[in-house]
Amino acid sequence: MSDWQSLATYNKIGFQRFGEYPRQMSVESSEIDLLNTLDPQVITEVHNRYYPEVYHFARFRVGDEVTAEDIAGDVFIRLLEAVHTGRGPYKNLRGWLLRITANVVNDHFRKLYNRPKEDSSEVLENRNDLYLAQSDPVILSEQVERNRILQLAIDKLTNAQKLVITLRFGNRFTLEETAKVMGKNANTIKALQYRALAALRQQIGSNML
Amino acid sequence: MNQRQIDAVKRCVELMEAGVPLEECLKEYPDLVPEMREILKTAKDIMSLREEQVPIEAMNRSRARLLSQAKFLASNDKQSASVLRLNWLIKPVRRFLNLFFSLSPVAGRLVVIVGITGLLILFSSGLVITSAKSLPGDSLYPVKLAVEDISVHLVINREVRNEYEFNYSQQRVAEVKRLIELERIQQISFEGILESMDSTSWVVSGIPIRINEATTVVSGPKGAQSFEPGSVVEVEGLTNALGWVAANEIHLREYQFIGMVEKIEAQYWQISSVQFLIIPGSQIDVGIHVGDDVTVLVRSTDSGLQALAILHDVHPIATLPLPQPNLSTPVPSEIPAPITEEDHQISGILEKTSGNYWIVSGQILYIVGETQISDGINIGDSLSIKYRVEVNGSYTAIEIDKIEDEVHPEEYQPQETFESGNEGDIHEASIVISSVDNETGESTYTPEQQETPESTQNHQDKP
Repeated sequence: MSDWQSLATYNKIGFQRFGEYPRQMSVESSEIDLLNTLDPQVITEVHNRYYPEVYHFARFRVGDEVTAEDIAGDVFIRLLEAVHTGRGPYKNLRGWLLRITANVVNDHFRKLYNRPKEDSSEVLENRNDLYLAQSDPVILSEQVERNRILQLAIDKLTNAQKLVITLRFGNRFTLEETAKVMGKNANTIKALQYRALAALRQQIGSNML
Repeated sequence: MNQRQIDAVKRCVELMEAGVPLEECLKEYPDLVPEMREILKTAKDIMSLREEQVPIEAMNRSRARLLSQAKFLASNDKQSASVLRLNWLIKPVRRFLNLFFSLSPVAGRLVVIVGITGLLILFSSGLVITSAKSLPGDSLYPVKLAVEDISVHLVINREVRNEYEFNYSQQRVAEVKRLIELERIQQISFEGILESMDSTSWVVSGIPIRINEATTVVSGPKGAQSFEPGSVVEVEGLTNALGWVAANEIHLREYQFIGMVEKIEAQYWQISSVQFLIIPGSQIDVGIHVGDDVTVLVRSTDSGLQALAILHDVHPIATLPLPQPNLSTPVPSEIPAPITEEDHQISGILEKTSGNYWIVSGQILYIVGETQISDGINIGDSLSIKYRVEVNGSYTAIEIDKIEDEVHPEEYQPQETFESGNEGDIHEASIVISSVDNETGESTYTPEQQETPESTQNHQDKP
């Protein structure tokens, strides 16, 4: 793909997505209102629409399928309870879900770090070992080590940097989508992305690459 | 870190996401290759952490769990019913608060706060201005009354407060007159000065009032005879298109009572078997003892009879021997006095003003609609007052002038002189004194006995 083609594609996608925001917002608002009725059909539609994004976010951060499934399930339960008690989102359901996911992931790591006789590297190592034990350990050993180092490095970023990296690379959001979820402008996200990548590079060093 | 590096990394990441190899991207930025290569390699590794597939089983399990929870919540709807009922209020408030707190830092919030404050001020002041013209029955009328109540309670000075209350009382009268002009049927309540009365129709502050069998009349210690021209009454009733008010209830509010002091206590005085509460503003002449005859200016309230003033001087009608025009110091007489409307004059210092009377050097003078009052009169001013003596002995001011020349205060003793004091001026004795109170020596009259055309004219002349 040539530069102008890729740029045109990006602009087109960006424009279309930007143009979709009002419609997206109104759809989300009506979904939020309908969720309160506890209608199974509405709940199923909302779940199916947003589950992949929530799962990808959790999976990218925690690195294993089982924990990511638990976290994603918890997030939707929290959504239902929040809407039902009048504390739920009033707009930008997607942003609300992803912010709750980030909080649940942070809680998950906090619990892991608070366990006695384990440090964070051991936690991640054990977690990856457990997860990958179901696959071929010989083939995956190099990948396991690479992922472990990367996730340790991500976990040491600031919260904003962690969120940018997760949304941009875990969820493949555009800068504009990331900015909307985080409530910041695109230039800020661009700078955050650069600083996060530079910080990761510094932490990883030459150990991995 | 510079902006060009940031932009280059951003663009290369996007190209790599679109499938462009890392080295191809770097060719666009040959001068940045050393710094960018390592960063972009990191980005490429991070991209590899993403799992493209979402396990269908995991998604199904999550959905089933969610639906189960929804069912559980639905079964608890009774408990959450109160919250749901308030959702119409909670949601907009929460949306506003969320929007408010999402505003970028202080400046945005400050603008919103200033804007809302401005709107509130504009709205409230506009509301107050608009409500000022409202009449009973209008939607904004309660706002008008509330504003008046607040303004009265905010005033600390008692004199100013009395003035406010008097002005608002006058407004109530004006509102009733306006309702009658507009021929509107409306429940009203107002206080005014009783100007004339007969068995079925009274005039209170210029407003015709019709009395019928259903009208409740709450009178003073002397029963129906407590009502006399000059008294302040509160009227509750219904305006109509015929130009009068059908009275449901009439309360005697302020009147004059003459009697002998029987008991003096800190909280109350007992005068001729009637107890009068002493309030902070009560004006009491010095030197009054048990057994003295006094004139009490009474205000009837829900809490009892309040003595606005207890004055040593006995009512002139009980002491003024007529016809003796040159006597400046009346003496008691048990003979029912004939009616006099001679103009008298008194000079003294203004001590107090109230809704329908002034006290000048201890003398109570009633103010009626026809009373001519000079401008710029304040408490403490020296006044020259022309007045007439009513049938019940009360003084009605006809003309009040301020004495401009500065005279020593000691000279302001009440001095009563007759301006046209001859027998020929004693006229219109149309209202017959029907009885004399044996205990107080007070003359009273019954409305039924004043039905001569002259007397009717006489009362109608009184405002």
